[in-house]
Amino acid sequence: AQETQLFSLVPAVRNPQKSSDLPVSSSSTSLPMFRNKTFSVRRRFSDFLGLYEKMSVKSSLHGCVIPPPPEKSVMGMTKVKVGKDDPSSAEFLERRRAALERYLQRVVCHPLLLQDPDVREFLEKEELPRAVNTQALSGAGFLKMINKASDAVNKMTIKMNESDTWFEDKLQEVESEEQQLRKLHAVVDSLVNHRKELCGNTAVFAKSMAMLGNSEDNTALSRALSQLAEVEDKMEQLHQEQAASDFFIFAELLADYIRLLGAVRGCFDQRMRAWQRWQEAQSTLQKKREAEAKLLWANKPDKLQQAKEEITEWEAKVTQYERDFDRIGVTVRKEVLRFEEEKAKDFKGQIVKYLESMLQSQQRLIKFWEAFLPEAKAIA
Amino acid sequence: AAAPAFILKHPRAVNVDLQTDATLQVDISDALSERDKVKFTVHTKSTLPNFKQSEFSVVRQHEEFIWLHDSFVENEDYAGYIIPPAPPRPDFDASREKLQKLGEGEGSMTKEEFTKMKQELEAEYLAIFKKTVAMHEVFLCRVAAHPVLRKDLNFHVFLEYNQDLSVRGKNKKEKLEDFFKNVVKSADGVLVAGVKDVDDFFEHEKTFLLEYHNRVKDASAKSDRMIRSHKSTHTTALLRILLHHYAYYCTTTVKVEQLLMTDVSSHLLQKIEARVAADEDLKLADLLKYYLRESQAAKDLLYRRGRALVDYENANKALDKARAKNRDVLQAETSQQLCCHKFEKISESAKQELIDFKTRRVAAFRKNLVELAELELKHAKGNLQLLQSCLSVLKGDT
Repeated sequence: AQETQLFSLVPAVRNPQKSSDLPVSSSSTSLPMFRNKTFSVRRRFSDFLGLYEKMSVKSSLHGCVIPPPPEKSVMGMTKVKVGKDDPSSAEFLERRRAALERYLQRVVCHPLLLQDPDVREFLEKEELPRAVNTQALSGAGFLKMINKASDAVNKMTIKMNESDTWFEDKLQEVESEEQQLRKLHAVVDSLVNHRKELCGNTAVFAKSMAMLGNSEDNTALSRALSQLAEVEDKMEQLHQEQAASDFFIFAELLADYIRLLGAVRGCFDQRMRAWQRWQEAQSTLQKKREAEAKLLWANKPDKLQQAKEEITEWEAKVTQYERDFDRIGVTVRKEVLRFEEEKAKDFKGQIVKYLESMLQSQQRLIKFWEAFLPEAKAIA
Repeated sequence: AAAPAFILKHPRAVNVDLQTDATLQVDISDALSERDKVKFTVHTKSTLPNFKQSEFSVVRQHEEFIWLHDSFVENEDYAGYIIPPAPPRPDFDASREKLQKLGEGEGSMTKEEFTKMKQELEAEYLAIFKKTVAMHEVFLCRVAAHPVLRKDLNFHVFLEYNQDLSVRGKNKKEKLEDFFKNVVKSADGVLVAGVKDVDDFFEHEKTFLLEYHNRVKDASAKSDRMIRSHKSTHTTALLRILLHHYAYYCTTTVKVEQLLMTDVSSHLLQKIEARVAADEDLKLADLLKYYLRESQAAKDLLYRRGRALVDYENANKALDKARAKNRDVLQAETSQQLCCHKFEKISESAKQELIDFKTRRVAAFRKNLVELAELELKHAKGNLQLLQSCLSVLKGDT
């Protein structure tokens, strides 16, 4: 079993002059590759993007589902007004911090990524050189990047004919799930907004009940009405916490997985590109052989020698690319299965968390009303 | 889909505390709602000799209730009583509109979606219908419980005469509504700007009612808004969709029966969620709405007393003047005596009415607040069980 590392990120003090510095603290119980058991470094937001950049171009990681970093823009997926759009608001900071933390946790949960030297450097090294080339990510955003690449793949004229339908079927499943998640995300957004409205209306109602209680001239009833106003105030608090739950437990989960499914699509695209590269190499090899045949007839010994060398070169490439394609196919299959297990765990975990928060809510609600009931019965 | 016709049999009991009396029992035994009319079957059981039979029913429409209410208001003999507030006009417009829109959009949704929405809207329509029946019933019961109003001739005609009362209500009602709007405006003026009442009891009641009425109005509006928000916050619907999504896309081990259980639980959670909002509506919003109308009726009584006092004071002044000029003295004396008598009669019954109003109010609030708390507890405990059941299914699924 893989030793899981614990990470906690603590938000830095706000500094509007430069982009926020985040301390990244890691603790590991037994992984031998890290020098210390606990260590802490400071990283910029762009460093996180840079880490993704580095991983996404490594051929050794081709076919892997590399977790996408959080969006730079505040709104990203959501139409929910979480706090203000102001980057200095506490809600925005917490949201970003939590997103970056989830990102890192996904990275270190991946067996291959954990071994990666860039990942280790990110976690351990005192000072990191400033990340460059993160424009595509921070500007257009992760999904736009993925979709652009996907379009390029689809435009290529040579189409694959697969005897094994697993890849086709799985890609369709991924696309359909992504669509469903988008719909769900819209539902959660709408729920959060309604609940915030409910919060406001409950607070206002509580005040009006307090006022009514004040003007009621029967003492016991007046008391009961004031108590009711207090109960409603407490309900408002419950609604607030529930709204935060809705958001942090579900909305963020759905947003994360919409992007993760994009990353999975990216793997399938990588496999397609590997196949295309192999096919193109085969057709190039074919052309070289035809050229050689022509040269044999023309009897040009120098050029013939060169042609033979090129053929050897391209035969090697064809073999290499075929092996790459097979390898990436194996990787993608493994990765998808691993990803699905993670996803099932994540979703279950979050649903359980939400149910537990609902449960706690109901328990507190019971306490409020149990305290109120005798007051109501005391009215005379 | 055309607007449905609903028939309601033996609607649920009213939410206001009322005494039942064997000598005269009135209820609305059923009701029919079709197109733009609601027909109430008013059922009476009585041992009083005034009626030809001991049990009988008639069919009445909203306008006839208004006619009866207005006849009480216009009757000088009842100036010293709190006239039970008229029931609000049955308003299905919004609900009907929604049902119509649904019918128009039938082609654009799946059969499942259509059926579900139709059921929801019909339930909403039925809830409004039940409420309007209850409001009309409360009015009749209050009249039947009142020692003087129950003897009113118009009331007996209302209960017994089995033909249409031919109350072409619209114009008359509109005129009366305008009249009352003006009355209310000037009533507050009379109550506020008037001289401080010699009688401490009435002075206190005046101050109290003015403030109380405004606060009940505020609380009523705000409770409505809060409950509307509650009704549109569909937490459990989301939970249900998420559980479906999880079952469809995320389970590597498919344990169908277990997942079915979570679906049943989440469906039941949805039902409780709807009931919570409905109960808040019944026990809190309706209570506040009712006491808004009752406190207005009490204010109207104080206004009538105030007006009688003004008349009395004016008659006194006229008498002094007549005596000074020694002209029409007898006339002035008679007039002054009549005003005095009227004022004292109103004051006497008003005092008792206002005391009774307080008693009724306290009892009604007690009943509804206790029931509200008990229902909230019942629903919360139901929720707890269902949530725990969902959790155990999920945690057990490996």
